[in-house]
Amino acid sequence: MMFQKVGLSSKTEAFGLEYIDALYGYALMLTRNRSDAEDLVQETYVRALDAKDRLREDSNVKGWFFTILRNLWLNQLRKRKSEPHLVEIDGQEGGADYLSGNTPSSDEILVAKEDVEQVRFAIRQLSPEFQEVIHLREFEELSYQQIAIVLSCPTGTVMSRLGRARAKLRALLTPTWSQTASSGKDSRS
Amino acid sequence: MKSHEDYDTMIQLFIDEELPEGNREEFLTHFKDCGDCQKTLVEAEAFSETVQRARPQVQAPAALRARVLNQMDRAHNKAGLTALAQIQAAVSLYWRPLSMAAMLCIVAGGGLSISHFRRESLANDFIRSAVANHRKFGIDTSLDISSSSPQEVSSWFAQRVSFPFRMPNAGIASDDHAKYKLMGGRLVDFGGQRAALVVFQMPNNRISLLVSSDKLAKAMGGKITQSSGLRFHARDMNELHIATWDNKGLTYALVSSVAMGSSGSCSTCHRSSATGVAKNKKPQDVVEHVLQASEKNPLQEMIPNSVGVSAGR
Ligand SMILES: [Zn+2]
Repeated sequence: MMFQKVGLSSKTEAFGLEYIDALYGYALMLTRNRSDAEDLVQETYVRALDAKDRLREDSNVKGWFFTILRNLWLNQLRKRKSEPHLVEIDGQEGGADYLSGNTPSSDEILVAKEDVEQVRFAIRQLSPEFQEVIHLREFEELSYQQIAIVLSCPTGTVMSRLGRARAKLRALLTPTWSQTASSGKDSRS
Repeated sequence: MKSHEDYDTMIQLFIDEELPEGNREEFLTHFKDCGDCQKTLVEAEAFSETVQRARPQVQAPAALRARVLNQMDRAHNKAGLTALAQIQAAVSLYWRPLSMAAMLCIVAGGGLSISHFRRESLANDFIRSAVANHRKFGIDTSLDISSSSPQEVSSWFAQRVSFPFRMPNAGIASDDHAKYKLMGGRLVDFGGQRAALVVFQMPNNRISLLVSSDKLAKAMGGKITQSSGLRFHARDMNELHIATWDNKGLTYALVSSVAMGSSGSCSTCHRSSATGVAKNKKPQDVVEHVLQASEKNPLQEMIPNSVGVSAGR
């Protein structure tokens, strides 16, 4: 009985709650605003609870939550009769939160942090759709197919968009990147 | 015959684990003899890693988490046990191996209350918070208090948290047998209140200990081990080991990397606890590691040494 209970307790918690941080991160990326992001995540769980019966056996639950969140956001945007201006609204409370960190405490960290900050800065320079595909692939590690479902587009589109997004990001990071790449190579060989 | 450009595309697919099985062999055959492709792969991999390191460590605010939980509670209450079973079924979709045991428990447990779920949820929140803070520290190593003196760290926290903070034991950092030493700590948020994160450094690893009041969360679940009247709950999450326990009104979560035990020896942490090594059959299990190492084991001392206070919770 004890063991069964263990099995239950570590798995049950609440439906999909293990994705709340990832969902909030994605919502911040989309909305660039903390309170919008919170509302969006909360609404996502409301919908998910309502729709969980329709969750197919073979569905990827994380991708499913992401899809719900994104669709809700698109609906909201439509209602607001505005186009997504993800880049332009940058720098607001949520935007500053997302992709920023705390003060480094040593020289070593400083170098590493700069690297991180540069990458984050470069990502912010990308178009919203490039940012999104990088977020879903590199940060959330969704498969191409899962991303295709979230974005409701063909897998081929994901592949090419991701390719272009990476190329663009690489170009933006070239001065830093060529250093990083060569030092990385040295340590690997 | 494919051109180099074709292989270029394949390299990224290969890294993303998206290269179709049919192309894999062809790619690998070419790859092992092609210096250019090897170079490209190394670069592309390093690039992806660089991007991934920039992942923001976002944590949903505690208030949002609470609101979502409340919603779920209401949904549970409305639909009663049926919904509970449905949720369980939905959850078990991705926890197949455990679904049987879980379903059995639903049946056997019958009247598992919402408060039970709430407690579990809080216990899991605490673990998640410990893990998030552990990872966060890997990126941002700034500390609110930097000190290798347990007394100093203790009194610093005692003045800043709302619960009676206690270091598990005052002798941790001064133990010469330990390769790790107390680095200090920082204040973190848990459940909207201040919690203490204590950090220990090892040559190639870190151990972090999240401490909070057990009014906010109590240790639950995982693999349970009893020792000295305390119940330890151990589990692995990806690359991390987590052990949680309660003692005297406080709740603790100890997080360390899997790499720590991967050498299969306690000597990873302890230079002179060789007698403990032989007994340690499961080096990947922090709790057993803690419990089975020799008495000189400083981690042993980290466990609050009172007996029987919170056993049987
Ligand atoms: Zn080649």
